[in-house]
Amino acid sequence: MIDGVEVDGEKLASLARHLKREGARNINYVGGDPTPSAHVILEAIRNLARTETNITQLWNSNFYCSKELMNLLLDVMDFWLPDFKYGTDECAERLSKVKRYFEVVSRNHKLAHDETVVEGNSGMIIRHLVMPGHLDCCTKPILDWIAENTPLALVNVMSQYHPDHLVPKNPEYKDINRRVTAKEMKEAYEYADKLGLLWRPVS
Amino acid sequence: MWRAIRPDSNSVWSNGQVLSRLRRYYDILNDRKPAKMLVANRVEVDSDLNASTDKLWDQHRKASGKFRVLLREIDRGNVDLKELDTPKTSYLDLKVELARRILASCHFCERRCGINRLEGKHGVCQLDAKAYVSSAFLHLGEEAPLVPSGTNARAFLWRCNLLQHVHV
Ligand code: SF4
Repeated sequence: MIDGVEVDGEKLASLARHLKREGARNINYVGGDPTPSAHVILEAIRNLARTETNITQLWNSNFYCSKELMNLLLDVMDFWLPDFKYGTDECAERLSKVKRYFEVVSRNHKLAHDETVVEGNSGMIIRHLVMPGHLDCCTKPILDWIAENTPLALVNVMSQYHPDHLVPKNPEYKDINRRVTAKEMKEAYEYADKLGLLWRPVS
Repeated sequence: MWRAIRPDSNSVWSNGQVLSRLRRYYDILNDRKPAKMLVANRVEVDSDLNASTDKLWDQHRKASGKFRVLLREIDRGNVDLKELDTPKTSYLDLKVELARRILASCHFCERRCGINRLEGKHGVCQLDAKAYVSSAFLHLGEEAPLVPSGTNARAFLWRCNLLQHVHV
């Protein structure tokens, strides 16, 4: 299953320094989100700090992390790049098998925004992937929430959803077994405009 | 080369609204401000990292307060980071220790499996304490402000390979 290289904090930090020299800016974790690897990432960050390497730290995550982990990340991340996917717990539970999605993910967006973005020491781009048929339950409530609660965040309204290989096989995912239409994207963009969100330069 | 592929990665910074909201990030990219970790590395904490977890979180709260004051002073130009000593035990050491403790009854995410991943146990995410990276590569498909412009790229992105569903 695992097709990556095992790393500890030190190795990860030297990889980061190497990549920086090459002009890259990205480490991809095998197996999903960086959240479960936070201990190694924090060690790598300490190593980078000890060697006085001035590289911006960005956290690109589903933001389903615990409040404890958020606290550890708050004063080290220079940039937040969270995904805000579902507007209701029902959609999250059915499509991603997680509970209390909205409460957890909105809490973490709010923490990052209020503790760091408002003070101007972090930037934030929230990514929202528009899903077919999920405008009323997901896209619009999320954009509403952002306008009200994290108004300084930029928003990437993404159109690139396509059903992966598991979707057609499972009748439970019937609603998302197609691409998003141009009409749906237009509706999403217009809604973002109506709310005054800053999305155009990053979408 | 970046410019040729993603011309918007430079032009996005002429958008005043974008620049004002991402100002500090832009300043780190251009080496005019230090990444936060460099500041956190200068914040001293009580050196006893064997204390109880509650005590360590207490320390963490205090260190966060100190960190924010120091960051503000540095950003205003009142304090020069380079002139500060690095303490014996820093705010980053404290974070690393707290992360290790979280791992020992894992609650990194809200699934809160509570198992000891240091003993090789796996939770819902199927990961023990080890971390793996896929071959790192240059990635251009990001939002314009995140694409390095020129040779002074200093951003580092901790990211996932986003799976569409089944995972969050
Ligand atoms: S899913 Fe993984 S990261 Fe989340 S609590 Fe369980 S073991 Fe920890």
